Amino acid sequence: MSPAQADIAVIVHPANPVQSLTARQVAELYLGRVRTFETSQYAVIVDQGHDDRVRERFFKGISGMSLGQVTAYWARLKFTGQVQPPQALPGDASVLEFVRNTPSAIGYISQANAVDARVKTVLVLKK
Amino acid sequence: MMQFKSTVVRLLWLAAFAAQPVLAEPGVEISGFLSVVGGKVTSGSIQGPWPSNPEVTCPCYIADYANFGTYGPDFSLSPESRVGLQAVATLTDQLSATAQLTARGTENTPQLQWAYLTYALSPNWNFQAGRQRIPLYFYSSFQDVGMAYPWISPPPELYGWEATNYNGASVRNRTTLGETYVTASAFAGSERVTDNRFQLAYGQKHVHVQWDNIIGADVELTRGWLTLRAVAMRADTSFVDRDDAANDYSEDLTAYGLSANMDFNEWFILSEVATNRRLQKSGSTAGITYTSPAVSVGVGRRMGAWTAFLNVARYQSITSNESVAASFEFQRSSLTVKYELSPGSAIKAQIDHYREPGDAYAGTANVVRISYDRAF
Repeated sequence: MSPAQADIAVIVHPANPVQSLTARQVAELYLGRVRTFETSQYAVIVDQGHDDRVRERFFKGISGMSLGQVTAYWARLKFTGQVQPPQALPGDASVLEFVRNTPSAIGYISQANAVDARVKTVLVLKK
Repeated sequence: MMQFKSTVVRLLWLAAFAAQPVLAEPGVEISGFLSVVGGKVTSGSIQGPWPSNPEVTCPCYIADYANFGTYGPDFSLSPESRVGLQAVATLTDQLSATAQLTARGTENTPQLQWAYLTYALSPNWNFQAGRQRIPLYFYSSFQDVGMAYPWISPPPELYGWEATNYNGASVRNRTTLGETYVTASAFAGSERVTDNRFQLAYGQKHVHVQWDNIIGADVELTRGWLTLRAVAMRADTSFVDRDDAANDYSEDLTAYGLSANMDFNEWFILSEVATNRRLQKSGSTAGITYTSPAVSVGVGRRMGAWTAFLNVARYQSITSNESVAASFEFQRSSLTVKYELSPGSAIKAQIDHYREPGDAYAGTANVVRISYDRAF
């Protein structure tokens, strides 16, 4: 299954006490409204930079916003110095690698790229 | 125009090196925005040299008061084109440094817009010190970022000011109360602008403007489709004209604003109402108070990559003594069509009908503009 067709998994490190997140909670993190998990631990949030189709489905799934709306939304926060957007990694493999190695990380991948025991899924966005 | 081009080239060259976002704990993230805007006034009531500043040929339209970005009967890219580069250096977990440089078609040299340190006191509180944007009305803090709004530029009825940045400190809180996101800030500082371009609207080229004792606060709430914002600010202003001391004056300035934006995804409404009061403390109209209420309402429709936006706005200047200074007003309606080329870039076309009862100032004008906006 190609990344553009698979479900999207939102993942965290297995040691993260968070068991699951709602779409709203993921949106709050990815739109800079909330900086920490419910456990008060700062979240290190990673976005995807290369495949617009995956990114588009992710943001549509968590917030209903199109990528254009997301860009406009972040342009405001970024260029007013309020919050910096999540850093972007170039695809599923690098997101998986990063989340495996960063206890407070959160990221998203197309589920086609096999989630294993080295990361924990907290939300699935169905196609 | 040539100087602007070479400045743009220099800044874009810098940006090209930093196009890949840097994933680093201590590190520098570079981002930026670009707007190439062109337009002309297709018809208007005043013809020839503008009485207020004869170097401007009318029919004419002031699109950007702060930088005196003015369109005339010939197509021009200078009045509103701009490029900005922002660098954010993460120094420690809590401390970062931000600087933003902007180059405009109206000036020969890039200006340092902002340069400040941000200290995160906690996940909800941060403190900023340095040179920052005055967060006056809703779009004030990101007025230059064309990608972020549906017009070619925010309504000059509310966004035309002689000072837009300040040197000082601010504190900001961001919290969530159930399903409502709240952010509030307070700020204080001062600003100096030499050879203030706003004063070119009066033909004055060498006016030093000072805003002292700037104090303000704003609060914004977002819940679902509704965002509300309120702001209040005051300052002591002074204007000193190197060429003619008779033009000098000082004021006690207060400003208030309220905005309500509604986003229903396909449809959205942007509305803002504001007023400022300038009590003249010294100068040729000492003792007079100018009260300037302004309002802008717009409705937009998104259809895939297209967005259409219809806007009406009005500005009034009401004086406390008509025999010393006259009141006047102007109104504008506009239609903008925006097409997203990619998530980070868009093109827009806008027509404006600007009307002044009595031709008190720049006269009636019909304006056509197009723009290419990019945020990276």
